[in-house]
This record gives sequence, structure tokens and C-alpha cells, in this order.
Amino acid sequence: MRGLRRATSGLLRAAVARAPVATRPWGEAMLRELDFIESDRTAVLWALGGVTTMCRQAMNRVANSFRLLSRTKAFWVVLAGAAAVVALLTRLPGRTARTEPAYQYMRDLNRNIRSAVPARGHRAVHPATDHGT
Amino acid sequence: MPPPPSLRLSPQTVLVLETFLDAPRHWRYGYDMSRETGLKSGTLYPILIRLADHGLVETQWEATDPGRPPRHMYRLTAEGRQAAREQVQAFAARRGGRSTPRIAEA
Repeated sequence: MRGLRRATSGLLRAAVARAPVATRPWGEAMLRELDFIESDRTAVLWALGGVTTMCRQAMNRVANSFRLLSRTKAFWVVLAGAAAVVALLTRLPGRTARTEPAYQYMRDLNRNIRSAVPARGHRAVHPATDHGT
Repeated sequence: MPPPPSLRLSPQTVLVLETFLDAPRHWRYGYDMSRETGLKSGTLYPILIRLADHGLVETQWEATDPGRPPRHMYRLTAEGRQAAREQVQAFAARRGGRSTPRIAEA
């Protein structure tokens, strides 16, 4: 249990180090209280609760920053995000290459060249000049 | 005084306010409050953070011996004392008086 206590307090210390500056003192406060908890089991639960609090506070800050945006701005942010996702997905290889106009143009061009130029080792046959000699 | 708009008065929040009201002007430690209320740190600290954000609780680092890290302490502000009394009484009234508010004189 002693090792688990050390591990969870290390986890809390890491969470506090990565927490936003505004919530860091609260994490440090929870860390400090660990020194006054005798029972290892209670200390483990305390540290895990502290990690949960730090994560929740960080998520709340992200949510609040979205809430501060006006509805119109939030709409455009979401729309831009959706457009970025669609653009990313349609650029995946093998999915869209066959539907792009450039691909169709190149495919048709390739077909035309193949039909106009005979393959190596074969004689070109022109119905107008070839009399079967 | 009505609660601030975004302050959610859950039973746990009321419990914390009640505990503060036991000795409204005294500084308290987080672990001591956790033992008194029976709330885990993951429940107690978000409540304390919210109360502090709304100006109902003030915090302070306790000066300790040199070489030892300070300890965080909490107590109600003047506004917090008034709001806590009103909210604890209102909460008890809503619950039909089942919860006895532990209100001490400030």
C-alpha cells in the first residue's frame, strides 16, 4: 500500500504540474494535505480525488472558453471544424482520387494515347494505306 | 441574498456551508473539512473552488516553520457568511426541515 500511496501522490504531482496556472494552487493544497493523512488507503483515495479534480477543472476551463464565444462565432468555429474534417477525409488515398476531375482527365488522356500509339513490336495498321502486303 | 446565478447548491455544497458555519470566522484545512463532512477530496475541492470563484470563501497559505511547505486554509467571507446562513436555511425549508441547519452566530 505504501508503494501505491507514493504512485498516486506522484500522479497528483504530475497533474498539478500540468494544470492551468489558475487551478494549480488548489492542486498544491491537496498535495500538501497528503502529509497530514496517516492512513495509506485514505491518502491513495485523497490523491486520486485530487487528480480527478485537476482533470475536471481543466475540462471546465475548455468548456468555459467555448461558452464565452458568441453563438455566431461558435457556429462558424464548428462549421470550420466540420469542413476541415470533411476535407481531410476526402483527401484519403483510394477514396476520392477516382472522383476528381483531374484524375478523370488524366485517365481519358492516357486511354487516347494508348489507342493512338501502337505498342512496341507491333506494326501500326492504317486501313487506308495497308493493302495486306 | 439569492445564490449567485451559476452556483449550484447541491446537498454536498450545503453540507460544506454548514461546516463553515460551525465556526464562521475560523480558518479551516481541507483534510479536516473532509473528515467533518465525510466528503472525498474529489467532491470537496470542486465545491471549495466554486465557492471561492463566487467570492463566498477566501483562501490563505498558512505560514509554517522554515523549510516546511505552507498549508492551504479556507474560511467564509463576510458575504459568504450571510449567503451561507440564508442558503442553509432555505435548503432545510425546502426539505421540510429534515436537515437541521447548524448555524452559529458570527
